[in-house]
Amino acid sequence: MNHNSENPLIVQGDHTVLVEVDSPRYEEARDHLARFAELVKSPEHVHTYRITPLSVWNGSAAGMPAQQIQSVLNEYAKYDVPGHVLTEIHDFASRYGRLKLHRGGDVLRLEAADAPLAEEIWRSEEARKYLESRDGALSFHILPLNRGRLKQALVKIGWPIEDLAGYVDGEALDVALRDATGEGLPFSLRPYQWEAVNVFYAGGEATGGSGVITLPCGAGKTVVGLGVMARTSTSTLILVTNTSAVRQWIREILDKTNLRPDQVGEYTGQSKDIRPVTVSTYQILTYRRSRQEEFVHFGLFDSRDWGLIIYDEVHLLPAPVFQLTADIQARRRLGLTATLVREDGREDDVFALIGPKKYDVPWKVMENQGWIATAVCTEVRVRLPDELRMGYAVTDQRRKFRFASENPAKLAVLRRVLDRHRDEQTLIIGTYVDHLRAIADELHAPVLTGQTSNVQRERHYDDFRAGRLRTLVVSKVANFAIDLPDAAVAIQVSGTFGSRQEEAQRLGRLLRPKPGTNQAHFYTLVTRETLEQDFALKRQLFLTEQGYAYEILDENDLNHPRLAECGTGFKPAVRLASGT
Amino acid sequence: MKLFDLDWLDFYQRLAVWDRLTLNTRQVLAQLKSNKAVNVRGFGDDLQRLADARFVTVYGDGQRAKLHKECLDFARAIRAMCRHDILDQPDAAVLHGYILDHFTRAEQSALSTDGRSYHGSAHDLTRDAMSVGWLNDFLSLDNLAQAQEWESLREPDRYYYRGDSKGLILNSSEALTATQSIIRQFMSSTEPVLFKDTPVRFKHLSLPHLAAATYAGIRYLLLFPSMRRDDMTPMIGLWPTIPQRLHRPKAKQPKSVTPDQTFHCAYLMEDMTTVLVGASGEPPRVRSTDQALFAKAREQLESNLMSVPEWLTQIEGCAPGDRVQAAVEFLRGFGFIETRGTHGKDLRLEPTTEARDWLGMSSRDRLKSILDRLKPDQSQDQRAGLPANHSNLPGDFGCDIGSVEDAARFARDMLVLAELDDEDDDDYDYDTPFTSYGCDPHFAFLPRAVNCGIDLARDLDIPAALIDTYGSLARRRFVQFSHFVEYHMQQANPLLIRRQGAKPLKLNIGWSWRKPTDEEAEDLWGQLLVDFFRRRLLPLGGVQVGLRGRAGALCISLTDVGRYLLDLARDFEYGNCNDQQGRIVVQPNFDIVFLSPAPLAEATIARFADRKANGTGTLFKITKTSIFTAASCNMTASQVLDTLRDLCAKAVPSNVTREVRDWFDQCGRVAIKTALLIQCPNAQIATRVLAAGGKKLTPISDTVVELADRKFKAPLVKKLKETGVFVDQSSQPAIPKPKRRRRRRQW
Repeated sequence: MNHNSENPLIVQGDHTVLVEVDSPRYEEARDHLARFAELVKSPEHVHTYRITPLSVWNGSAAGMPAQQIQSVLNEYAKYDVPGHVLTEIHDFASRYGRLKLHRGGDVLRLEAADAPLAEEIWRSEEARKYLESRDGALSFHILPLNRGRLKQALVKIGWPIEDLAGYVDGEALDVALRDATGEGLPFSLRPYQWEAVNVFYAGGEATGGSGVITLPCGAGKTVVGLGVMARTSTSTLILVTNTSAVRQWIREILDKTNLRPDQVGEYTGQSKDIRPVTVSTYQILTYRRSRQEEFVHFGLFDSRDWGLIIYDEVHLLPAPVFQLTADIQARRRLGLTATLVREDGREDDVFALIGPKKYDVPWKVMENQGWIATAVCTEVRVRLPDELRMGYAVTDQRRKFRFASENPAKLAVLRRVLDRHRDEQTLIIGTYVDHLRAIADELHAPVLTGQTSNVQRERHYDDFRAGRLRTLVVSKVANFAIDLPDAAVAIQVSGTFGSRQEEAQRLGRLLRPKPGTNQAHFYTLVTRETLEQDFALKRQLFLTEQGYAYEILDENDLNHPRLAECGTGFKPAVRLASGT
Repeated sequence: MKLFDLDWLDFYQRLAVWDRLTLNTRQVLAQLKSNKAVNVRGFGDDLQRLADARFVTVYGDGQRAKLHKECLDFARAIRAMCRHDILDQPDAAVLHGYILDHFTRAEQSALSTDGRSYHGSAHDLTRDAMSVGWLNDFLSLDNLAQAQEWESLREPDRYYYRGDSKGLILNSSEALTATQSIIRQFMSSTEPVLFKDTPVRFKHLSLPHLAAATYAGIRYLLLFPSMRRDDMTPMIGLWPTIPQRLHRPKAKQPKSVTPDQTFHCAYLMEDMTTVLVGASGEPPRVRSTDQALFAKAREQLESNLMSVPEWLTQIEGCAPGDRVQAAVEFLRGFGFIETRGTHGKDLRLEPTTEARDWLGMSSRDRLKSILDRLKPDQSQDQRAGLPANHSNLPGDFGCDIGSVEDAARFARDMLVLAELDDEDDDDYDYDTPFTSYGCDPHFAFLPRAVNCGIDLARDLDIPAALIDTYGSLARRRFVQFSHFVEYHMQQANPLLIRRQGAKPLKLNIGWSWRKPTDEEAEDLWGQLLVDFFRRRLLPLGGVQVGLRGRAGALCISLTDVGRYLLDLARDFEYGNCNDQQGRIVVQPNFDIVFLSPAPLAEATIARFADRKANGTGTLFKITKTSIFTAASCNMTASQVLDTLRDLCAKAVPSNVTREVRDWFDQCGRVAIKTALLIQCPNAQIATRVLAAGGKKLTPISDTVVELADRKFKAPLVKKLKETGVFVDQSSQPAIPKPKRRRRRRQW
């Protein structure tokens, strides 16, 4: 067995690749690896990637042939790469591009590279129903309506289609990016954002126009979306996760493009405006009165001649939207996400229906360039007061978590943390509204919950952004897609059991670049020796696997003179990963 | 004599015709039964030649043929030669088959030097006939009288022949000389010869003399006819292993070599640790019938074993299944685990208190405690009860062996056990005379397999001989294991030395005690060396093993651990994993990643982390459960964290350190005991009860009092009655009657 200790990769027989971060060749290896392997976890010293058929096809779609993938692995591997892994990579890659979809007038034509492959898909039950007729030995006639479903079916049997059938232009719309924001600050796309836009658009060719751009939280995915809108200059439907995110997108569009308010519509529970640029939520699209009835808002897709559809947080795309997306394959589709890994394992649907990964920027590059903040995660363990311990012990299992989450001793610790960061914008995040209200009353800070009206929410957000509010207490409503760029500290007083997604989203609120040290702090207050500590461990594992430095402190450690001397802090942040 | 009691002169004369036949015709002829006619199509053009030579008789319009009556003996000999694969597989089993085939039971017994009935390949006759000594014994006959005495002893009706040379084969000096001369010539050659070439080869003999000598040689198992299958050519020669031995190169002192890969680890001790840690977390279930692990439990334990190089698993006993079995047996033998639970329902292996103490030791101390119990001096203590001039057996056989009879009885018992274990294979013991009679390890210096088969009552000190042999290995110097064994089998074999000495060595083989042949003495010593290596030195880290060259030759070097086991050193170092530092990383998500293989570190970490994989990559994860298991094995947080710090070049992440400490802090031990609670109606009565019970009672609350000692219940009830406190009889717990176990019907 050959051994090269300088090299960072260990390629394992199960197609996982371990990457040693401290290797001198780490960065170059990672940049290559990210093109054809998915990052699974990135804790401090050794990151884990996984090579899958999809990841190899993504690499192939980005112009990376099997030989190049194999040579990258051989060049950077510590030990000999298992032979079967190399063979399988070759096999995976050889499947991409052997089925091509072309447009021939009003119909679509699927062409297979060879007769056996044509025969295989012709005899495949899954694909056969979407093949209208067979034109010849290697060619099939497809109805445009079945374009997405055929791609979906063929990916599932291991034959990805290279879709070269092109797109409809959609309703023309003059969109341009401003040179300065509404506040008069200079504005332009960052180099990597331009690069992402250009790779996606591909000069308007059929090879571009659909796919996913993955950027870490805080790297400006929204702005990339605006860049693509400007490049395609067409009417655009933008789908996001919740109403706050809708407002945020609209605000960004109006702030950074030449579009007027009357050209941008909100399609949510509160408002149903359909304009040349319409921003809506996945929830409203997937709403139906009962399980037996139709999705009442699916008509939105046909309400205009959309030229571009943007899917924000594409890893959260709900299943019905996949169905819908299958019908609109003639329109350009842009997926934005921080990770391609979906909890439900439907990455293949993202690949088939939205498109392959088009751009992925290494987070380290952005961190080095100061585009994103670094974060330190700290768990502070708080004792349950003696008088409550018996109460906790006798509470039934179901209520124990809440009991521990609402530990009143957390308030004192909260004050100490706030005191430590008294000059920084701080979010206090929690799950239980009563508890949050009590905290807000004690701290004389506004509280923002699901019951808070949107108008009031926006006012609080504005005050916070403007620095008029130092501390804002928020419930789960702030988990997703809220841009509070100046928040430098988040204190989580309670979470939703072990929800890793929630933890990542909450942390994501802090990652906009910060002036000065460009450092954010994420605290979690956990009641010691309770169920809450067990759930916190799960969240802790997730964050460490995403590459965040993680510290566990006792409440008394906050008084430690050494720590006090450090001002804000604890150990400097190690880094931020390109995770969720 | 069933088959070879034939006219060999006729055989020689017919060979020329046989030689002219095509291969196909020879094959057809070899299948012809004496009384069966066949279609002549298979004979082809040879038919006429066969008929002319009176091999076959043709009849029925020339369409059918059968063996000619004058050729029946020849055909019988040809068929017999085809039956036994002597040339390709010259082992005891084939010879056994040959003897059974060609000799009557009486002839077999007569050929046996002890005259007992012949019963298998392990019998003296088989082993003797495969030895050089068998031939030398015949060649040592100086005159006709000696020869006739020798021959008459080997005839079934020996008394009939005594003083009468008419029925004997060696009935003249010429016959004796002719037979001895061809035996000598065969001994000088490495290969058997073609039957047809023998008249030329032994041209100093007339054909009748040659035929007579051939007959004598075959009759007394000196020569063996066989068939070369490729061209159906009859051959004759000595038993093939004899010329190989006579002409083998002399083994030389093994040279120092440099292996390409090496491995050193006391994996048996590490496996014991792994099994024990596993048993502490979830006691593995065992079968009621034989107390062996259930397959699922065994597989679970196998998956947790430390990884060893792939090439090492080729060695017998190193496969994961064998390792788990050995570990369990050692743990049982050392009293570290015991079977608990309900018989027939829920039997499981649970660690004992001693096991917890043992697990709490460092790896070096754990190993030392095992070695100390296996060292030869320790074994001598164990046999302290035996008279000094009796057995040199170092260890506990589980029976008192103080005499030859005891040893023989013991061997027979073992044999019976082995037969019971494997009823389907009657030849088990005969075919593997020097291997273990049972699979359970022997918790002494010598493994049980090594002890069996040696004359226990004689004063041959096997442990001392093994110590001398392995002690001859230089430190930190590798030698090829096969060369080492070969040299010590041939050139420095204490059994051979003893065999040739004044006190003859005797072996217990099968059912009998006998003086071994040179071949047996060599094989036995070789096997002892290999067994000791396989069952003691290798699994206990006594040797560092290596692999060399493309062919993968196994190399060994004696370690300090080995020297300690052999009582050649007072102390040893073990478990220093510093050389593996830097290859192991603890991640903040509690994963432990091995960037290169480090088996010793793997074994150390397995004590407190859950195994995920083997070799390289993320091999372990520290979990709350794994830490709790470690804590239950008396490990401490500092031990775990110190180990991690020692093994990892990078700092252990602070969250991991903190969490591990917290988890250890959560652990504690409680005792569960049965007590009686006395419930009093009020505090005042409770005080009176306490006053009556004195120190035997403990107040639990104002109105509840605990009586820990149940024996004191009756006196307490009496005392309370005297003080006016009466025990409500209905509140007394009914004492459960012990369940009567249904007796299983014995058949």
